[in-house]
Formats: sequence, structure tokens, C-alpha cells
Amino acid sequence: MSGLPFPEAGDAVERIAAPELTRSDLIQVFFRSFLFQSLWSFQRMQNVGWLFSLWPVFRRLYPDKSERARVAQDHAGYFNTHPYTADIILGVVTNLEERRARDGSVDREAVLAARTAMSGPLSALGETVFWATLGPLILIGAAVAGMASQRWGWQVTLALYLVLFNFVHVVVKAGGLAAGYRKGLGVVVFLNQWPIQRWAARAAWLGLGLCAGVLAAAGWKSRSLVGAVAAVATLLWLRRGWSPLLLPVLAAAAGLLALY
Amino acid sequence: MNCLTVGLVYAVLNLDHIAVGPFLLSRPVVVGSAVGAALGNAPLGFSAGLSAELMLISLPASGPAAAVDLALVGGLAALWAVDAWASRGAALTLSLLLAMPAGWAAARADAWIRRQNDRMGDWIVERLTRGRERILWKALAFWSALWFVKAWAVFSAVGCLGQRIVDVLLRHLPLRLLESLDRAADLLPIIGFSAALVHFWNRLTPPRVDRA
Repeated sequence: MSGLPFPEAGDAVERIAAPELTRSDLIQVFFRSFLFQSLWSFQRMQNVGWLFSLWPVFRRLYPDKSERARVAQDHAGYFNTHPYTADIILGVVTNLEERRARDGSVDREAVLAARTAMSGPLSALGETVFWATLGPLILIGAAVAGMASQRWGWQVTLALYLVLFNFVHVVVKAGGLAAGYRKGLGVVVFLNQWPIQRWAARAAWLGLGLCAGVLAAAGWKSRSLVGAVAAVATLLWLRRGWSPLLLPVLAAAAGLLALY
Repeated sequence: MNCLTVGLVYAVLNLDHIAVGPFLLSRPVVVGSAVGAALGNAPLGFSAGLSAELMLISLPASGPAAAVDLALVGGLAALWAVDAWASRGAALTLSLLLAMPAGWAAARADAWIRRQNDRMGDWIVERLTRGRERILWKALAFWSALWFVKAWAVFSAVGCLGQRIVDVLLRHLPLRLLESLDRAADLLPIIGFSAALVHFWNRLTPPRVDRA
């Protein structure tokens, strides 16, 4: 048998089994995902950041350089999502790519479809949760804590703002990558179990209450009619959808009013 | 000289949303405080940054929808407020008034520069698919250096020019107007928190948009 041009049984097994991903590969993906926004462009948005983050996975799963280049070409298209929720998609795609490389149970189209289908909803989720709710809420909470601390006001505000927000963001990134990799596409069901929209609404109520409390306390302390006028004018101005860039002009006008 | 030194602080923090993170280091309140600290008056820098942050709380910081360069607004407002000779309040209000349009113009310039760089991404992918894998690290380093230099140059140039304008305005504005700017500074926290209140209110009940 050895004279025939067929591989021995051991050789065949070695050739079919693709290398397994290690914990170190996932840790590399995690740290590289902090550079996700670099090389952002209008044409293909975060495609280079995506390739850069996933490169340790490609390197492990596709030892052959030409095959790796082909897979990179597959992933080089338009991609845009929120930088904090991107790790969930990175985890899912890592899972799918691993299955594609190891047993072929997932094809190229399925990987790219998952990547595209998840980017939009997770981008919206990240915008709502991080930029529109959590960031402003932590800032307002930190500012209130800073006001309460007479001596270390600005230091307390800055420290709380940066530490609290970044703690949450790093935990969500790391957890998202791990959950995405472990559950694969099942992570969508997992995410649906969390009442994120309800939490975001409650956080918005909390933010609204904090701001209203600060304004009421300021009004009570100063008993300034111009202050009340400025607050109401700002509310009306922004509720009408006018640009917040002109708010300093409103402040200057209120200052002029205060003189008379 | 101040502009160049402080420009370095701004350029480093600006890399936060350009290359790394974002870890919120490029938010106006952080940039304002850092610029203020570099100039020896961190509390005033913090006030300028926090005012800008609260007023612009509803605007996206990065990405295609970014209407204003928030980091630049915070940094310039702090630079001009701290470096001005006039009273703290008048300088703060005037600095914010001028920093807003500067941040808006910078966001437009940023979008234009990025459009010129669109081909860079294709070039990187092409090299990558030809097997030149180290291109990713090189491109990243080049990109970060490019944006660092750009941020430094823009901040230093606009900062120096704006300093002159703020100085001239503070010297020549009528006293009555300066007093009103001074009073306006006391109202900045109220206006800022009102803007934040509207932001949360809009999250809960979006304002009605009249349809034609």
C-alpha cells in the first residue's frame, strides 16, 4: 500500500483537522478590537479595523498564506457598527470561521451574512445604550457627585465619569466577545432575553430626574428669574430641534437680560 | 508657544476616538480639563469643557453623523478662557461662543480629509490580499501619526488665531457687554443641565416632527 499515491491514514487526519483557536487568539482579538475605529473611511467604514481585529483568528485557522489572503478578501467589504458592540460580532464570526475551517459545516456566505445582518441592529443598540443613555447618565451622576464634594469637585467628576463608563464598556466588550464565540448565532437569542430597551428607558428617567433635581436646587438657591427664563428657553429651543451649537448665544442673550 | 504645547496635549487625547478606544478621553470635559491643567488652571478648563459637553450632549461624537468636533470645542474653549486676561466669566462665555463654530468647521474639514483618504483602505486591502500582512500594523501607525500631526497643527493654528481674536474682543467690547458675558457665565450650568434634561426627555418621548 505504501507504494500507492495515497496518504497514510494518519496524514489524512492531520490534513483535514484545522488548528484549534486558543485562548490567546481570543485575547489578541479583544485587545486589537480597541483599535477598531482606526482607518475608518467613508467608503467602507470600519473594514480595515475589522480585518485587523480578526487577523489572529485568520492566522490560526488558515496557516496557508494564499488561503488566508482569500479569506481576508471575503471580509474586506463595507462594515460599520458600534465599537463597543463590535466584539459580539467578532465573537460570532470567530465561531463561524472556526467551524468553516474545521469541518465545513458553515459556508462563506453564511459567515458574511451573519456579519452583515448583525452589524446594523448592534450598531443601533450601542448608540442607544452607550452614547445616548449610559454616557450622559454617568456624566450627570458624576457631576452631581462632584457638586456634592466641595473640595475635589472637578477631580471627582472626571474620575467617576472615566472609571465607571470605561469599566462598563470594557466588561461589555470582553463579555460580548466571549458570549459571541461560545454561543455563535445563538447569541442573538441570548441578547433578546435581556430587557435592554426597558433598562435604557429607566436610565433615561433617572437622568431626567437628576437633571430636574439639579435645576430645581439651583433655582431654589439663586431664586433668579433670568435663570428660570434661560432654562425654559433652552428647553423650548432644543425641543424644537434647533441647533445646540447656538446655546452660548442664548446664554449671552440671557446675560444681557440679567443686566436689566 | 502655549498653543503648540497645549496642542500636543490635545493631539494625544484626540487619538482616543481616531485610533484607540474610544475611552472618552476625547470628550470635551476631559480635553478641557487637560488643557486647563497644562495651562495651570484645571478648574476653569473643566468648567469650559463641562459646559461644552452638556450643551452638546445630544450630538454624536464620531462617525459619519458627527456634526461638530467635540474634542476641539472643549480644548479651544478651555485654551481661550484660561489664557484670556479679562474676568473669568466673560472670557469663558466668549470662548464658548467662538469655539462652537470652530468645532463645526473642523468637523467639515475632517470629513473632507477622510474622503481624500478613502483610497487608502482599498490600497491596504489590496496589499493584504497579496500576502503583505505587516501592512496592517504599518498602516495603523501611519494613520495615527497622520491624524496626530493634523490635530496638533489644527489646534495650534486655530488656537493661536482665536487667542488673538478673544484678546482683541475682550479689549474692545463695551463694558456693558462684558458685564453681560460675565453674567452669562453664571447661567452656563443651568443651560447645560437644561440641555441634558432635554436629551433624556427626547429619549423617552421624541419630539413631534411636522411633516410637509
